[in-house]
Amino acid sequence: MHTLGWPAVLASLSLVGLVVALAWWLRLGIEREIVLAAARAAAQLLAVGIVFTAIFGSSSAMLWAALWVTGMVIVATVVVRRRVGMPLPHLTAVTASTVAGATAVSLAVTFGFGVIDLDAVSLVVVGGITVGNAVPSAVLGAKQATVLCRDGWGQIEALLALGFGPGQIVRFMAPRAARSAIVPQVERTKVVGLIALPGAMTGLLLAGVAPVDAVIIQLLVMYLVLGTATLCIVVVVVTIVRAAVTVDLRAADWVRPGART
Amino acid sequence: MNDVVLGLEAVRKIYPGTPPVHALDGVDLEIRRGELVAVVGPSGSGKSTLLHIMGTLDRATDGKVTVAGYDVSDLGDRKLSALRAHKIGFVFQQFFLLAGESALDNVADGLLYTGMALGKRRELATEALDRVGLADRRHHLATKLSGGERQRVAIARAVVGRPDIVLADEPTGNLDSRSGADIVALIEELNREGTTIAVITHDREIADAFPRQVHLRDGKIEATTRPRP
Ligand SMILES: Nc1ncnc2c1ncn2[C@@H]1O[C@H](COP(=O)(O)OP(=O)(O)OP(=O)(O)O)[C@@H](O)[C@H]1O
Ligand SMILES: [Mg+2]
Repeated sequence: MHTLGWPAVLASLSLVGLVVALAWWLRLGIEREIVLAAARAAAQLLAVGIVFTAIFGSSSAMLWAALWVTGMVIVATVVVRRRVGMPLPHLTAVTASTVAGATAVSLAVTFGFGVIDLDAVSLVVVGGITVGNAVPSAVLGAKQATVLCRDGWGQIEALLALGFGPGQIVRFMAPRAARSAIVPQVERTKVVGLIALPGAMTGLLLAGVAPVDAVIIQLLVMYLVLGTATLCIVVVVVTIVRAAVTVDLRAADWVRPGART
Repeated sequence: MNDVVLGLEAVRKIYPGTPPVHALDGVDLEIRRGELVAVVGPSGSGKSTLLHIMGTLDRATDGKVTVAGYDVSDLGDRKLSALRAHKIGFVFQQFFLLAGESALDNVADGLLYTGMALGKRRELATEALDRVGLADRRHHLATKLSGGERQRVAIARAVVGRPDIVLADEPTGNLDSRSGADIVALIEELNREGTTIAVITHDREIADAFPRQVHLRDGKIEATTRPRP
């Protein structure tokens, strides 16, 4: 490693500066947000860097790394919960166990097949990639499902009126929400290598790993990400649509147009 | 023989909130077999709330609701589903047909709960579509039909299981006056054939044509115009 330094980072900020200037000139009204986002990212990454230094230097680095991954799963659950913005039955438990389960599978595949050597650093990195992709997918799925249920309130009541139970209602309502949340993930997978050079691969190439090895690792990461994202979407969507029907077979208050939160 | 199909006793519905909304405030109502009833009243008077409670889609805050002799508050979810599937037909202002399905399958969905084989359901659905004058459109996708035709499909779906009562919330509200009049004529015809029907409507003309009108105001029944015995 050489000439890693702050001047380079500052230079990269020049583009951000340009955007801020543009935003100001076009009166987009988002200059503040851009600056804050950039500053926030810096603060968060610095904090992470400090924590990682401590973790990886510690004598019980593996334990700390495992705790870190667990912490990420918890944060992911909290984020999804907060984005949904209302207490829905089972949502927390289901989200937590899905994210945890997907992460466990990813870790098992990666380290079980010896693709990457297991150490504190790789544990945190692979866990981070999985959880980091689970969250936006779960959030998108949650958003699509809540919007669909609210817009489809009448449709849900019409199905209930026919004597349908929650299972059948999920069958009719969930696929649309799930599909619209999965599509972006699939699109992203389709253009990999053509337009987008994915993060893991770029990192490995920059670090001097042979391209074919980088490709193998990238494929593995991509499939794990695709699987994790899709799984999280489906599970969150089904949980939310299920929660649109109460146990006594009425449309839940939160889907009704007159509902007050 | 008890010919009351639907009974409400001192039904109240309060929507929680600040302040709470007293959408229904002590409603007593009986609908007898073979009746055709119009529920009228200004916007916000509680008509939709009343129909939802009659159709078991909403729960009364207190009071007693009976449908086809069953006290609705006693029913577990299986019985409630069965009651909705067999005893009550619902027609909505916005039709709420399933977009990806043909007219025929939409109507056949009305029998899904019966556990009949698909062939039998389609046979009955064809008959029901014939009753509403749409037999020749049965293979069209629901989305490819006009508003008036969609409402006919929705009515066919509501009556295909020969329910004890059909409840309709502004069934002509999304239609032009011509298709609206056709739907009203269809409702009257189904009633002549013996179906008990309660219809919410804003339209005075429609309401006046029906033998009985229930006037709602501020969650109370203000007056009932009854047919001569
Ligand atoms: N889910 C709800 N939460 C809170 N208040 C509600 C809810 N649904 C209805 N209300 C209120 O209850 C009252 C009766 O509403 P309802 O929809 O039954 O009236 P309506 O007679 O059908 O009116 P319209 O003719 O406009 O359809 C209104 O004041 C309405 O704002
Ligand atoms: Mg209404």
